[in-house]
Amino acid sequence: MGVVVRLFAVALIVLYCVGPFIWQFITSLKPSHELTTLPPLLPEDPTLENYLSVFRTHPFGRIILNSTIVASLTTVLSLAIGSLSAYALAKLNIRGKALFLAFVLSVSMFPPIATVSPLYLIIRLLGLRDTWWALVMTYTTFSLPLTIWILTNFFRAIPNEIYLAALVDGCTPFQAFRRVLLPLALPGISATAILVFIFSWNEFLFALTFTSTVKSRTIPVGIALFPGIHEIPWAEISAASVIVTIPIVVVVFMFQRRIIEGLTAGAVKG
Amino acid sequence: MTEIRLRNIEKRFGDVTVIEGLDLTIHGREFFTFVGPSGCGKSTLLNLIAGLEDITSGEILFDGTDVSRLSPSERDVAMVFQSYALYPHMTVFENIAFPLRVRKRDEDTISSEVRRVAGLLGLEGLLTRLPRELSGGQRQRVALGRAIVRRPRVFLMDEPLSNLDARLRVDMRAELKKLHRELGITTVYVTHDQEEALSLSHRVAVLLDGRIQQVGPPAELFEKPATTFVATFIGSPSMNLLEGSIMERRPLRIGMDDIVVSPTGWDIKIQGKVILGIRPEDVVVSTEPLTDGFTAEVEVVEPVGSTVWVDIVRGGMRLRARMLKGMELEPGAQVFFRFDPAKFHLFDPSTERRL
Repeated sequence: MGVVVRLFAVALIVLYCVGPFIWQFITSLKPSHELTTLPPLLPEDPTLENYLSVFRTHPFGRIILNSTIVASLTTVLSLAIGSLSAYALAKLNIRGKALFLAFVLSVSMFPPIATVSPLYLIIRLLGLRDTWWALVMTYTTFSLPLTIWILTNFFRAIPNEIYLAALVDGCTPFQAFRRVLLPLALPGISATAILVFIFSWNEFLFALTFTSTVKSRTIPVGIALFPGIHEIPWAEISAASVIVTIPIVVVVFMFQRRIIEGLTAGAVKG
Repeated sequence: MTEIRLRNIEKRFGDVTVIEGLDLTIHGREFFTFVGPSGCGKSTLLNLIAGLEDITSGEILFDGTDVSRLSPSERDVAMVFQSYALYPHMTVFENIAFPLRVRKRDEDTISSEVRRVAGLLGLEGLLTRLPRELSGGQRQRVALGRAIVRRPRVFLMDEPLSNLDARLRVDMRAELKKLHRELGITTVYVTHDQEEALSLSHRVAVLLDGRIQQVGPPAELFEKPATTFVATFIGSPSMNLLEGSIMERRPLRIGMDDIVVSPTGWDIKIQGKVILGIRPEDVVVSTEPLTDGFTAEVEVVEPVGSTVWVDIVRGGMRLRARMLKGMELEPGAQVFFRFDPAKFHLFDPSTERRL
């Protein structure tokens, strides 16, 4: 009896989470005349036309490329800067660490909308309008507080004696970071990488403001610009959404093992 | 072979002074131990020698050269930590090889050196294992291996045996001693275990509140403790400390409660109160009357195998003593006890120093 109730509860939660995605997937397979009618729930005449038309009627390939490059560069930059800062904050003798961390956190408290205009001016001044770099720089700035906070905790969790042992064994602080602490913080870095990648992949406000052509336009903006004057192509929007969700799923699965390793590492470490 | 000199060392953390005006020379090839209760500053002292912490003032010299401002790697010291601090993501081989890799030795040298050290420590069969697949004793050996593989100038050990079980600890003690004899590297050892300190070291420094109470060979600390703290800290079970007052100085007669003792071999200058120390093994307890003996009541009987210790009470006086072989005693029994008059230690009650 208890098992049945529990299964039912689990099914309900799964449906709640996956439901919209399934609905979108169903919609993406429907020909246009079936779109606004119910029944049928499932497409009677499933078609891949919407998927093809996403690429045929829009420069969607280029848009995916833009997003991939922007999100990847942001992730790499955030992790490079973030892990070095976090290492310094967790292990090196620096005055005012707590103050610095509080300051970093306060940066992430700004509502993005409040910073759009000044950032736009800066980016125009730098001549970076409608480039990947405009987005990469902005996203890195906004993802760094999170990155630094998560990774600082990960580096702190590594026993101090391991760091000291590396120093005694002849490492410079940077060698200790690269050869000993970085490999040990890898699970935390993977988890952070996923968060930063998803954040950059989904971001809309800055992408809308700083891009103007297909040269640098990213997915959320690209899809938002699908609707024409007279109609909203729901089926195409659904197809595009399904397409761009796949890379995220792939990335999560790629890092998933490492993340689980990270979560259980403490249990077996002696 | 390196001689370590600590000159007027001071270490403060903020307002807290951990080590104060410490002067000490550790000879080349010596096995030297800092022993003391937790919080006495012994681990801090080791970190200062290693270069993991900066001294607030003073100088640290290796063979006459000031190394106070050098990094740990420039000082060429190796250290074994209490938690072993092995690199969890590296195999035993890579752990031992690490100091050589950082120093960019060639692959052949690394391989042969690691194998030599592994042979020395009996780790040959474990080279491909990860630290988490090893027992406590094996991890301890890997930590030792990592320290000795590059033949450092100085070998530092911070309570390396305290995470091992009692039996393994005694075995490793013998092994450390052998290893030190074979390598001949100046070794500075830190422990809170006085027995470990006595059994391993050429010389021992007893630390309390960041100050050295006494430095000397183990026998000297045991036989001539300089302060009441050293007297009670070194030796197990602890020395009895009793209060007495000097009744006569030549010959020396000291009164305690209603009894009078006459310690021999002392020529003291002070008058009035005095602290008498006597080790439990120098107080004999018997069921038969003893010459120069006193009566007391048995409070606790504590057999430890080779001997039986008894806590006895006489009026306000309470002390621990050794029971003669073959005796059976119950708490509450009436017994006789006697001090060995040549084995008393006398301390000045105002300074707590030996007279």
